[in-house]
Amino acid sequence: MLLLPILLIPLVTAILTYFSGKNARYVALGGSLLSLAYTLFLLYTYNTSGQETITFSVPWLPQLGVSFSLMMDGISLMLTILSSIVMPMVIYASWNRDYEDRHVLYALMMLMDAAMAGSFIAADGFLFYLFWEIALIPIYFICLKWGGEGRQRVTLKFFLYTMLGSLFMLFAFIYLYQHTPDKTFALQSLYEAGRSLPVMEQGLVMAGIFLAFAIKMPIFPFHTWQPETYYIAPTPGAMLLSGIMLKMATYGIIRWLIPVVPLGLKEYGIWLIGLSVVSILYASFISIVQKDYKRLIAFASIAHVGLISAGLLSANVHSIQGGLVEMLSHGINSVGLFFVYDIIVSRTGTAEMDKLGGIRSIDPRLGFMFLIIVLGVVALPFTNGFVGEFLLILGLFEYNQVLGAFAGLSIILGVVYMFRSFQKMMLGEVKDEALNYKKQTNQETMLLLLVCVLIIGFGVYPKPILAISEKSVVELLQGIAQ
Amino acid sequence: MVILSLLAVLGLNFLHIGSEELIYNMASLDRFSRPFLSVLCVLGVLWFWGFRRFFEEEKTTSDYFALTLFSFAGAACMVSYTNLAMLFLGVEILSIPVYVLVGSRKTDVKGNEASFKYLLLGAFSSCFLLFGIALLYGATGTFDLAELQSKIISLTPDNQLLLQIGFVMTVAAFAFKVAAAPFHFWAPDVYEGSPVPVTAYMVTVVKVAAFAALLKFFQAFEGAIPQTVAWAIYALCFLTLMVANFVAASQRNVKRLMAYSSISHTGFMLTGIFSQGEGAENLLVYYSLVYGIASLTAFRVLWYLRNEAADIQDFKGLIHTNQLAAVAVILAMLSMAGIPPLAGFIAKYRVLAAALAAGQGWLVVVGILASLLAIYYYFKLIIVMFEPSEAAPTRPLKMADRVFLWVCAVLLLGLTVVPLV
Repeated sequence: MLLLPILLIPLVTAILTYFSGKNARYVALGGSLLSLAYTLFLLYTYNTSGQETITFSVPWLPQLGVSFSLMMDGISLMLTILSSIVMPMVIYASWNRDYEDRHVLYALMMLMDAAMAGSFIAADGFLFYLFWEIALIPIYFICLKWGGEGRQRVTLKFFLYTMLGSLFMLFAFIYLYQHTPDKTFALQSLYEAGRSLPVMEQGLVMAGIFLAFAIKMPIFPFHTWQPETYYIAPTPGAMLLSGIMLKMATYGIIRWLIPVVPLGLKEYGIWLIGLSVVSILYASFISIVQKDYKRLIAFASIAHVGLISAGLLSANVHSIQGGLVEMLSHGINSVGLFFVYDIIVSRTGTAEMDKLGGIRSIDPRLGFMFLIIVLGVVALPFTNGFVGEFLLILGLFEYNQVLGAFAGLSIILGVVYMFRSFQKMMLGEVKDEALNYKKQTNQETMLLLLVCVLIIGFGVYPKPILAISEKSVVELLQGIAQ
Repeated sequence: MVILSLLAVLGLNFLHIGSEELIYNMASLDRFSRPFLSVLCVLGVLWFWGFRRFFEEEKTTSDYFALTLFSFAGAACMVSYTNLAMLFLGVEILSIPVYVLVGSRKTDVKGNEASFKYLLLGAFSSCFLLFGIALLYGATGTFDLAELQSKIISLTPDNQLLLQIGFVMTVAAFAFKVAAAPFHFWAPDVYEGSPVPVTAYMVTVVKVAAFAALLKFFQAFEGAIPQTVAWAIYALCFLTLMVANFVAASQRNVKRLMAYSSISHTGFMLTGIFSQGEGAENLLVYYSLVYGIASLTAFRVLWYLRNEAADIQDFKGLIHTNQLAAVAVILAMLSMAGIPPLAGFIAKYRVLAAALAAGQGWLVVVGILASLLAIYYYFKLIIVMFEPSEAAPTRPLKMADRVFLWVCAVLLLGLTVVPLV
């Protein structure tokens, strides 16, 4: 019962928001804050009860072997914390922006929040798939209604592409389901079924599941939908996509891939890791030559997610812990980066970096805060990015030194493209587009300040964050080793 | 009208009584037919409710009422037959009024063309059916389904052959009725030429009845279908899924689009019932209920926008002019495309799971590809609705119609959460 409010709070908020007309933003923010408070309460309960997994299960579609089962361990809790921290920030980021039919926008956002939260706590393969798909529908309509030029084509591609991937995942799940002893989709049964398969079949199942995740994250060469979609998406949509939604895939690797096919991963995992590392380098290089700031963030996101994916697939305590922390940091940093984009575009109407320049001299506060975010993204020590990336690269290095070294390049390349964007937009001469630049409002400062505080706070003292998931990660890996 | 709807509802309640009843050894109300009758009643009530103005607009109201109800009686015969003669009677009672209804707009050339085409091809398929039944009789010496089933095992090789030919002929006749490729060519033209309410009636009630009859027929032959014939039927499923979806993707006329969409659902239903056979009732009941509700919703909104042949552009900007209608269509489209959390997903899932359990993995892959293609054309409609439109807001829907759309929308979502069957 403890877990139901995680779904119900956003769901009820979505309905209330839809019917609250002009006050929609207050209702949505209130709901998301309530959700955050509840998550913190769960964190407290979880820690005081000796970090015991919380579960909930009722039968749902017995003839199909599907039950409505939820579970919350340290790993799920991390992701739930991520989504409930990011959600109010996304809503607050669009506080004073002028969106048509705002109540619908916020209702869809809360609906998506419910689905994403559900995917983080689902303990039934079928249910996970359902939540995974449900999350796609609101974001599709958000991009279709509030998106930019060419949205019809781009969003359809996005939808079809992701759908294709998820169908492969569903296919793999059904295959596992047929091999379960008790014919259910329950998490443990799928684990058992997966582990009982011969290596070759495990490899195929792994390929099917990974395809869904690779498209969602995305990993080269399945990334072609992503830069376009981020580009046309309205800012809150882009924040949701990169802040929370892609974590469904990285979380999926931990929960629905590694423990299901341990032998397959051991045998063929190196290919997937190699692909992820290629993805890191590819996206980094492309990022360096981008002219548009938003596209740059999009490719930077591919690079970072590639690192998370490579690390997680190497499946040791360091890398998985690092991956979890990095998911949290990436979510917060994404909100920061997209918010800076939003601020600049709302003043100048463009995010082409060649047309911008010298904004720092007009608005030093923005310049300073943007710098901190950039430092967090490039993983400077004492920022949140550092903890995660360090652990990820360490774990990857333990797995394979060559791949680890190549993945390590991502930090250097990251410095190149992030600093280049900072230089072009913030420093140098003031260009025409930035002449009438208005300083940022208090609301904007508040949000950026929050992002900066989180970046530095997690960076300086990451221990409590790491402690949340450590026990669960160790248990998970022990389960595989048997 | 209202009284009749209520009667249908009453009948529905009555049918829920779990008793078995044989009617002169010709038809039976049992665990098989009752659920289908209930589905037919639900769809019938929704149809009468949503399209009640159809009768007000036409001059000869009572005629159309009578025709619809006659045809409905035929549907009831088809789902509850136990005798092949009864099956034939049911098919004819169902079809003949529909031939008339299709041509009910007497001055419309397309309507007349559709009616004539439907009549000719319908007669043709009736021939097949009769011929098939005759051959089955020749092989087994009985019209009774249960008796036939018991005699199948002990047949001489000659009679085996007769039986098989009879089986194939009858299935071909059914394939005409449910519009499975390659017997589907009449469907797009007829659906396009008929008035929208009649099209809606054909893709829901007529199709469900035909499928229920077909399932019963399959079940009687469970285990006696030779491998080659089984492959032929799987090929039928494959063709239907592929042809329907590929052609639908290029349609610009909404009625034709819906026609091909309906054919593609035929493919799914056929796959489901043929691969599961025994115990496929629940699957088919659920599928047809969900599919029927989604179709009725889509056709209701289509009818609200335009009565004649509708171009896809007629839906342009609907989200701005009539939000409820637009959302109802979106839900219907998502459900038909099989996207969770809508009921259509569970329905399609059950079909594909049945096919996989029957060892037809390749058909599952085809089904998945077909679903993806389907998303493409269903979403074409959704995307058009989001385009800005300069057209003046359309006339508002009546209260009863708004409630109708609400009920359909809630059912489409609710049947996932609480799957009754």
